[in-house]
Amino acid sequence: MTANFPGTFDHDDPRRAAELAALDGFILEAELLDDDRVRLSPCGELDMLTVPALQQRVEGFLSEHATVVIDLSRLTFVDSAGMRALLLAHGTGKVELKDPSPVVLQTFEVAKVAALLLGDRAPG
Amino acid sequence: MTDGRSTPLSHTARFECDALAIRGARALVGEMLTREGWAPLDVERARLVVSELVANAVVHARSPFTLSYSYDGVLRVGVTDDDPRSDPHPKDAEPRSYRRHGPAAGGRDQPRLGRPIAPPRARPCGACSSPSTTGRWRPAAARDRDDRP
Repeated sequence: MTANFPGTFDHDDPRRAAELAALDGFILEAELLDDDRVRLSPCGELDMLTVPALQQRVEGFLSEHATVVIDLSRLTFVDSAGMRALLLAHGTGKVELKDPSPVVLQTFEVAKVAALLLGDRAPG
Repeated sequence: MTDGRSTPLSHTARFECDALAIRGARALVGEMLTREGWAPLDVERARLVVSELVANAVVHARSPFTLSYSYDGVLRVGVTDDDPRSDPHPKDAEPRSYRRHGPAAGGRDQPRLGRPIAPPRARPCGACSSPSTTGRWRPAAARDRDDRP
């Protein structure tokens, strides 16, 4: 992805990604649960604009902590880019996803990834 | 998508080729459906569809686009980009290609997050003696059998 048109984010430009994420009030709150675990609570819409911000935070925490718990309860929207980011993060084996909001859960179910991403926490 | 309502409506909106237009388009549809009294989760389903269609126009066609939606018992959403070069056309599949066909799970973010995904190797197929170079997904049991030394 390159910045060939206005408003496009660049994965390699963290500042630009952060600026675009901030435009829509996307917030990432972090809380240290213990020495090995950090809880990350994204708030707002996880889409192609805000995915880089989430990825940067997850990567940063994984370099210092064993496990990152992503609390999905305050996400109001997830698109395919957001789902892909969550799938990749979950694929590391070091990221746990929990408490999806109804909107997020519905999107996971549409994409048939609820059981994969949430495991026993997936309803049904 | 249907909700059993009878109030017909239709609308068209133009957007510039801007990543923020993706949010604008889905917000427009979301607000319209909410105003019409649609159930929140139905609104979210519609917003997801709009978002994915518009993202295709912005990311792949890279052109301004028109969003149209109408409701006459069925909600219909259309996104039309202005790039005549981006008309749908068939692509030839490369037997050894593992990119640009299906979800890009091994894309540019792969080295940073997620397990590495190696390109498919030529190896005997479990069902025949010809090499399997298509990279097709095979059952785990077949993979284990083939991977044995």
